[in-house]
Amino acid sequence: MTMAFTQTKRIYLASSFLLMGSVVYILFRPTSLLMFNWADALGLMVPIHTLRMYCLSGTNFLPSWFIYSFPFPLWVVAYLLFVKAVWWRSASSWRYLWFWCVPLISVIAEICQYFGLIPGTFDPVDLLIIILCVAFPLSMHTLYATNLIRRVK
Amino acid sequence: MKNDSKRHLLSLFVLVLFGLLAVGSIDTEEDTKKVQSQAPSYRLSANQLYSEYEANEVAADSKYKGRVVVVSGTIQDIGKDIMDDAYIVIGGEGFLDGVQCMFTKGQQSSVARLSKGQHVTVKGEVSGKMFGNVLVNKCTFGEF
Repeated sequence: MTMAFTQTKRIYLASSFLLMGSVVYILFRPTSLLMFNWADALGLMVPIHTLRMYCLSGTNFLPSWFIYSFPFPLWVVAYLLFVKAVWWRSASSWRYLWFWCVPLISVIAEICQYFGLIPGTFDPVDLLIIILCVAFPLSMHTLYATNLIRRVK
Repeated sequence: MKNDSKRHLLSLFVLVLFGLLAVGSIDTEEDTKKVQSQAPSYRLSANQLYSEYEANEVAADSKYKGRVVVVSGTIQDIGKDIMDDAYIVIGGEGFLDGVQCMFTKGQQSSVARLSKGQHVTVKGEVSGKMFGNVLVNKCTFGEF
């Protein structure tokens, strides 16, 4: 029962992070992102523009780190939680590879941006938030593993 | 083992989904914004740039290729390439001469307001000579 609950909870949590990150991208980021070209090709730009119009005032009071640095790490956390749910109770070493590939690629990509090796703008805040977001599922796992969360409950 | 295959498959699906999201979050205007923020290496007329390429393409490439320039001239042609990106040709007089300035999708509304014969100033990155024209990519309009 506990196993199913924890696994389901992770999937719900991952889906929430995925949705939250996507909402910030769709509502507040410039339409020059490639995803808007895809949305345009799928004929989705009219509802997107309508939603963006309603949220236009949000761009004035939301901090820029929330709009520009936060959503991508939310997706990273969503990925990590999904992978953790998929490899729940598995002893296979493969789970480490699946778990670490995305955070490592994300951090390496940020560092490569700093050295101008790949396109994009290096932002230390992005790097910090990615590291913090990777630490979040790891610390959750540690708390569960050491039974701290259940003991508090 | 069978269970592991299912897990690999699910993990791959999640990874592909994440990859798609990551690619989708690429800003197509980022390179243009970078060029826009750079100080131009040269300011010249489109005819001057074109004639330097006509005189000696190798020398012109070493001088201009990859550099940010501000070029001005009269619009000879307005259109879209095979990738559906808007362009204008400034300077020159005949077919396949002058400077071809390429614009991103975000700049299309500005290009739509232009007309042939109008004098414009464009900032962009020189990519060398292509099919007769001198190609300038990542272009923006303005008073530079």
